[in-house]
Parts: sequence; structure tokens; C-alpha cells
Amino acid sequence: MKGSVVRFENVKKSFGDFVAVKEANIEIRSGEFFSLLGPSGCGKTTLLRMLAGFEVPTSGAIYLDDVNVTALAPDKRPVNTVFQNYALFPHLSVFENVAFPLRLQKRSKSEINQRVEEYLELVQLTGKAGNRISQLSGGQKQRVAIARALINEPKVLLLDEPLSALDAKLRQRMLVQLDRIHDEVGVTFVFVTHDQSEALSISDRIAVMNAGQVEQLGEPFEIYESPVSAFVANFIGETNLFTGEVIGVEGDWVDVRVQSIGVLKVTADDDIKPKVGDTINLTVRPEKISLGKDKPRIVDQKPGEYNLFHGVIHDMIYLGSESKCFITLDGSEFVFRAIKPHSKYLDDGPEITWEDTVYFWWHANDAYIVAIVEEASQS
Amino acid sequence: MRKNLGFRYTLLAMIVTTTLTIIPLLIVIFYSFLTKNSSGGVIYQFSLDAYRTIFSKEYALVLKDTLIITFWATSMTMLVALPCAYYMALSRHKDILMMIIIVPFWTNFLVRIFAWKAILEANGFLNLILLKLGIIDTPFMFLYNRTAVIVVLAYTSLPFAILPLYNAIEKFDFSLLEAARDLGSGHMRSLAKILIPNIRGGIVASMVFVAIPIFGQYIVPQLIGGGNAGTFMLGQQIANVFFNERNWPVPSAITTLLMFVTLIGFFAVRIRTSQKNRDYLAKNK
Repeated sequence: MKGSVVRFENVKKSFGDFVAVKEANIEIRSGEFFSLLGPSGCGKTTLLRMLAGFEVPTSGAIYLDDVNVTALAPDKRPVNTVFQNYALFPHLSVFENVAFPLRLQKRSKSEINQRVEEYLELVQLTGKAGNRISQLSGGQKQRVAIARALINEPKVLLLDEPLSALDAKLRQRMLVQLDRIHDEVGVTFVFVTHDQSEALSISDRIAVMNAGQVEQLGEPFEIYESPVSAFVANFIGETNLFTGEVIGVEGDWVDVRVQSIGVLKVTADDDIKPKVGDTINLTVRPEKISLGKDKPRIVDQKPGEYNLFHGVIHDMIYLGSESKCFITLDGSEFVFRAIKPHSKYLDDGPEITWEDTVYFWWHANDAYIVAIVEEASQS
Repeated sequence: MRKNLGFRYTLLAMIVTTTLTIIPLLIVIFYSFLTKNSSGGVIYQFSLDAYRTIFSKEYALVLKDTLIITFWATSMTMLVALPCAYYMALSRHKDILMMIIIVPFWTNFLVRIFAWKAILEANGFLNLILLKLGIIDTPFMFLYNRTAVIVVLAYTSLPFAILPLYNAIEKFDFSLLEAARDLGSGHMRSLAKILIPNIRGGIVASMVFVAIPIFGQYIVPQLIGGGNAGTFMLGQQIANVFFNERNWPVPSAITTLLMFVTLIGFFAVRIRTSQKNRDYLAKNK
């Protein structure tokens, strides 16, 4: 089993009265692609800067390969950073930017030439060595920054929102490149981002942060499918989130009464076992909700397994491969979000558009209990 | 396309500049080649006497002292100005610090020089403090020597050095220093390798703004140097020749010569830069 390369132990950081990081206990495994994900101001960048050595924790300790580096200066740490604005040296050429760390170490000319070439090849910038930084595009600058940060062969590569300055298409390409580079060099990557799709698509594990705390740490699949808090459920992708009281439990099957909607069926998994009387949060992702003009037969074929409702589509957003529908429940103000894929021509039933009244349904297994908000009072 | 009206707008400015600077300069050049009139002014008769006079040992010595004083005063100014500008650019109280730099320069130049005399005199402020502290027993004459001239010149030049430097440092992207630290460079090395090259424009501007006025200084060496050996500068020489000897061609010749030396230097830099650019473009075609 691979050991941990980075360990945050009870790390806390405050700037005056503002607490940026409340208490972080994170272990990052050797060689993994680890993401710190959260909205701006959640403390993810502060955490990264403490790892790089630009900030010193108010309390707690940071270990790199089991060595305490909490108070070590940035130039003494075996970690390198790819900065959000790239921070390339404008007075030096591409070659000299990448060679900078080696020049500091007074390496021989032939070694510098050979290694700079090797790393420029890694980021596919061979032939740009003589260029000035101002002559490069955003994506190329990004890659120079990566080559410069990797040439020292750091134990951990830190990436501070490296893709945020690029346009959507380039971002996709850079994500693929980052993934390839990670595979090739095998260095541990710690990636800070506020973009959940970036984090989900590339990470081995993700720490979702909110208000200075890690809310959930796990693989992308776990975080998307089984969020542990309402915050994570909402932040990672879109979702329908409900709060209600448990009125019946039968094995894994749980009935929940949600105000102004009615009774929802959900199946509990092994982690959370609600009792009658508990108040719980549950969620169902928009893509799990099906919709149609006619009452679906499957609901009657498997009675008691489906949640079925009826409402009016009051808004529809065309997204190319799919449409997002906002459905107002009959006799209620509650708005459900559902994703309707654009099916193929032959499969198409009656077309559903704006202001249509529709049935919408989902299986109890597709909903997920996020957390027990309030335990039933003992009587 | 709209017509570029720039020429029309600048016409007035061009006429003013031409009449008020270029024509007087041409008169100066013209006078340097004429014969002096012993009661002042010139006789309109071609002569190279003025140039013969300035290419002499006496003038070479004055030029040498002037260059030495300019060099040390400029160096001292830059050494003080760089950390000041760096601190100001990073400070939260930029406006206040800026005021502190600028306000003294609203008082009369001459008054400030006399204030320095009051500080450096034998019974002046500095001696008073040193005597009270028991560091010296007898008053020391700080005035009328080269060091005093250099110090006061540096003082008068400081804002002209700080302002361009401050401008350059304020525009500097400090994340570059973090990047340098991150890549394994110590603090001082990062400043030398990353900050200094990236504010080079500001440093050159400061040095030009400081060195050129110092080179032509008259009041400071006159009042602080007192005509003592090693403090006598070209500006004083010009004034002496002009007022005491009533010789007009010689100061004109000095000015003409300095102007050509400066112009040659300027064009040399220009040619080198454009040559570098051409080489660069040729290499990366």
C-alpha cells in the first residue's frame, strides 16, 4: 500500500479575526491526483499556500514524507507550485524560465540543456525554447509553468486554480494534458479548484471544503453519488434537496414526509439508518428523474418502489445534448429540477416542451439520504 | 478611415519648443565658434579659441571631479532610494509616505541647502549632538568637503529617484518573487535575480533623472563645497568663466561638447537595442 506523502495535522490558520482554515486533517497519498474543491473563500488556497510555505499555520503541523515542514521556508521544501497567473519571469526566455531552478543549483550546461529539453518535450513545447513569455498563448504559458515546476522533480506538485484563466475548450484540452503529465511523471499532484467538473473528471480523490473545513473527502464517485452534507450535495452538481420527517421504516425502505410535497420513498444505505421520527436530508439528482406526458407503466408494475408526481414545466433550458427542466409540482410552489436527454429520432415519444403538464418519477434507489439532521426525541 | 489630426493639434507646441529650446541651443553652438569680446558678448569672427581652452588640463581636472562627484552622489541616491521605494510600494500607507517624500520639496531649494549648512556647520546641529553624546571632544567641520557635497546632492535628488522606482515596483508582480522562492531561490537572491531585472526601466529612468541634473549642479557645490579642492564642479566653472571672465564662447563650447557626447551615447544605445531586436527576430523567424 502506498504511504502518505503529505499530512495536515490539526492545521488551523487565521488572519486577524478571520479564520481561513478551521481545522484540517488531510492525508494525501503518494502519487495520487488530489483535489481541494470548494467555493472562493473556503480556505483551499490558504491550505495550498501553507503546503508551499508561503503561509505559516496558526497551529497544527504539516508533514512531507513524515518530515515536519510546518515552519520551513518555501525554497527549502521539495514542493513546487503552478501559480494561478502562471508567474512566469517576463525578462527570461521560455528556456531560461524552465532552467531557472537548475541554474540556482549551478548544474552543468549540458545537464541543463538536456533536462530543459526533456521537460519542454513533456509539455509539448519543443521549439518554443527561445521564445519570450509575452509571445506565448495562455495555454502555452500554462505548460511552461508546469515544466518549470516539475524540473526540480518535486515530491508534490501544487496547482493553484491553473485552468481558471483559460477558455472552456482549452480547459478541456489542458485537463487531458494534466492527466497525461501526471501519469508520465508519477509525482503527487495537489490541485486547487472551484470547478466541480474539473475536480470530478481528473482527481483520484477530492476534499470538498466549505467555510474553512473539509466537508467530505473521497473519490469523485462517492462525492457525487453519496454526499455527506447538504452543502456537498448542492455544490457538486445540481440536485433536488429535501428535508423531511421519517414516518415509516421497513428494512431499507424509508418513507419521508416532506412539507408541501408529500411522502417520498427512499432506500437507506449501510452508513445511515434513520428511525421513525428523525428529520433527514435527502437528495435526488436531476438526471435520475424521468419525465413523460403519459403515466409510466413501470410505476404500476413495481408498486411502492417509485416516486411519481405531476406538474407543469415552467422553464426549460436547452443545453445541446440535453435540456434542463424546472417543474412546478401541482398544488405546490416546489420546483423540481430534471434533466431530459435528447433521445434519438425513433425513440422519441410525444415531444415535451415549455408549459406542458408532465408526469415525473424516480426509483427509491436513485434518491439518497444525505444526513440525519435531527434525531427523533426519545419518548 | 479618419484623418489623423495629431499634427494640427501639436503644431502650437512644436512652434513653442522650436523657438524656445532649439533656437537658443543653436545660438549656443554658434557662439562657441566665435571670438570673445573682453567686455562680455561676442565678436562675430570665427575662432576655435574656446575649444582650445576647454581641451586643457585645468578643464580635464574639473571634469574628473565633476564625474566622480556625480558617480558617488548617484550611487548613494540609488542605494537609499531602492529600499525606500520598495517599502513604499508594499506599504499600506502609500499616500502618507508619498506626502512625506514630496512635501519638503515645496520649500525653497536654497532654503533647504542652508538648512543643511546649519546641520553640518562647526557649531551646527550634528556637532551639537555628537558633543552632547560624548562621541567627539572638539567640533568637527563637516562642511566644505567632497563628502558633504555628495551627501547633500544625494538628498536633493532622492525624490527624483524614488518616484520612478516606486512606479516600477508598484507595477511589479510580486507573485514572481513567490515563484522564485518556490523554485528554490533565497530571499535576497530572488530580489537580485527577479525584482531588479524586471524594474530595470525604472532604475535607468531614476539614474538619468538623478545623474544629469547633478552633473550640471552649481548651487550645492558652491554653498556646501565652498570652492575647496575636490568639490569644484563644471557648473561652477561655467559660472566663473561667464561672470568673472566675461567669456561667452567658452561656456558655449562646454555646453556644445556635452550635448554631443550625450547625443552620441543616446544613439549608441538606440542602435544597439534595435540591432538586438533584429538579431532576435532573425533567430526566431
